[in-house]
Amino acid sequence: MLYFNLISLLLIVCGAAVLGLQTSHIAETARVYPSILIGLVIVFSLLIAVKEVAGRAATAPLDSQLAKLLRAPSPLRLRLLAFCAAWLIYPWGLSNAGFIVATTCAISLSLWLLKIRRPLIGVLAALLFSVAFSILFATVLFIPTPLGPLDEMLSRLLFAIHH
Amino acid sequence: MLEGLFAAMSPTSLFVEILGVIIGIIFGAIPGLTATLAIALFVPVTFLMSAEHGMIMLGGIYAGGIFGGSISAILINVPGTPASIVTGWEGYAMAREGKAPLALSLAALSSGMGGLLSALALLFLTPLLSSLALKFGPAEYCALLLFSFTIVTVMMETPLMRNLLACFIGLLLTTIGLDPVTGAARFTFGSVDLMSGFNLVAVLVGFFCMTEAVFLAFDSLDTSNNKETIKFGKGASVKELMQTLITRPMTYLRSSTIGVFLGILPAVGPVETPFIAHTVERRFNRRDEKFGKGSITGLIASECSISANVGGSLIPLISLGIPGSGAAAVFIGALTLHGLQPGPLLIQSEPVLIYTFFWGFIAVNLFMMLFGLFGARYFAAVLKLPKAALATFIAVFSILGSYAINNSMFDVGVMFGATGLALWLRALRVPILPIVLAVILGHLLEQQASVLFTTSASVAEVLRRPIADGFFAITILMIGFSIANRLRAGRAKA
Repeated sequence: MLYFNLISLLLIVCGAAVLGLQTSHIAETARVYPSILIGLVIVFSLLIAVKEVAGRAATAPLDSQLAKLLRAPSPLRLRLLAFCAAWLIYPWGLSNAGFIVATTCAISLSLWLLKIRRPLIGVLAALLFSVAFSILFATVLFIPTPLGPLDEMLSRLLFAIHH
Repeated sequence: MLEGLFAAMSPTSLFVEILGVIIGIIFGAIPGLTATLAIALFVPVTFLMSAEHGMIMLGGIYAGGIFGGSISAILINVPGTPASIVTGWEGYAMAREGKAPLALSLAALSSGMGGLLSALALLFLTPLLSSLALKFGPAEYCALLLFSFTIVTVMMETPLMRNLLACFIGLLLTTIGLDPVTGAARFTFGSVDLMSGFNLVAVLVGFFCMTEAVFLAFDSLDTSNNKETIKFGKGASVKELMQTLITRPMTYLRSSTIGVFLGILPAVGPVETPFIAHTVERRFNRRDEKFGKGSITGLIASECSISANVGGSLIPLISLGIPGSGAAAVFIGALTLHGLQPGPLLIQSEPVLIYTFFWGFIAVNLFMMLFGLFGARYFAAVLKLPKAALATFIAVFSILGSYAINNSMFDVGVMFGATGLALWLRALRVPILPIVLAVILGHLLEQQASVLFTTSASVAEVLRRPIADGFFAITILMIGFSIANRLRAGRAKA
């Protein structure tokens, strides 16, 4: 855990330093406040890092959920990673495949990865959810969602029903 | 005030009050889902409503969510929200003796009583605090904000240095975008999306919702979790409930007052409050009740204080723009999205809206008590929902909710970034709450500090302001006590 803490603190210092370098491009009056904060972030990160190395850092127990996750067997963690990846890819899928297809696929995949008992019902629920929310977004919330072939078909259908 | 009362009793208001409470209880009852998460997820839904109805619904979700946590705590000894740990000690012990309905009814009654008292405090204390805050200049604001940050950093159990680091990281995040005074772009790296900084709601959804989706997903995969069956006994009689009210009026009053007071303080949320109220009641105990092993007084103290904390945390939020808890912090995001700026001017500029919310909050607590008394066993059915489905739908709602704020994929990216940051900092044992508070109050601090430094000729001029001096003095005292306590604890360990 010591290496993780040190690398993390070093990353925070580096991030703050990058912002510090950027301050030279900011008007003088607007850079005082962020410069002070950058200084404080660097100083406190280094202080914690030094205390960690010296073994004098005040210890707090690791978050229980996180501790359980870190102790979990690899296949379980891999599944969780796949779950996170599925949702990270979802916005890209939205832009490329449209709302209905992307949402149905993401929900189905997520439920399958989390080992839901009846995957087929999961797919059906995902499709139902996607279509219902697509209609809700179009008719009530007026939130424009990325359109794919299925979304366009649904839009035309909704337009025909309205007129 | 009366106009607000009538508006809060309109059919639409009643509908959103009931809806908010039901959603809140359902979310609260499911272990892993918190009131904060529920509020963050439902902020985009409030776009459909007027600001007052949106606020009332979120108030209902907040109050219901906090009460809902006690249902699973009592029935399966798994607190639905972290606030219900103490309720679990007492309530589960009662449930094992076959008194689950009495424990649930007592929890509902105590929550309702605590919530009602806090709602009354909200109704009468907020205007007082607002009118006092109108006298605030930049010196007072800076002193108050400094006090808020200090209280959060010194009162959290995590190491002080890490709390301070979290606070500074949060403040630094708020400097991204346009400078609030000069309008100069800072740390935007040429990106137009970054000009307005990070969207608060997207950040909070990342901090509170998506992270929970990850942990719920893990829980659903982790089959080592024991599943307990829910058992109900015979229903509680009205006589039994009324007896607790008659024989323990001071327990209700003391615990509610503690809850309201701690709610007003920025750092002490509903999680810490029941422990304090429980300890206080243990000291006043003259009935030989075994606290921690099914004590009725302990259960009342816990539930009263948690619910009273909810209303208490909304008092500084509306009157000063400073949230009293994590959930109240998300509330601020909702208000700003509706074009409202929490602070002393809000009650002056939108009196009908604010009083509608106040009365609505009273109604919310009444509904919560009624639903709790008559429907807790039905809400317990949600405990059977599979965690895989919950994790999936929280993930999808987090993404769609972030997208819906500005119809922008950039906000979805911000939400994912906030999720990553929250998980990383949790692993580094850096707490999230100081970051949340800093992200919310950072702009105000910078604005007020800039005005203070440009308008004040000397430090002596700032120190001539008594309110500011009071806050500075309390802040210094708190820092002193905290350092002394930590040194004493360190010496005791050695």
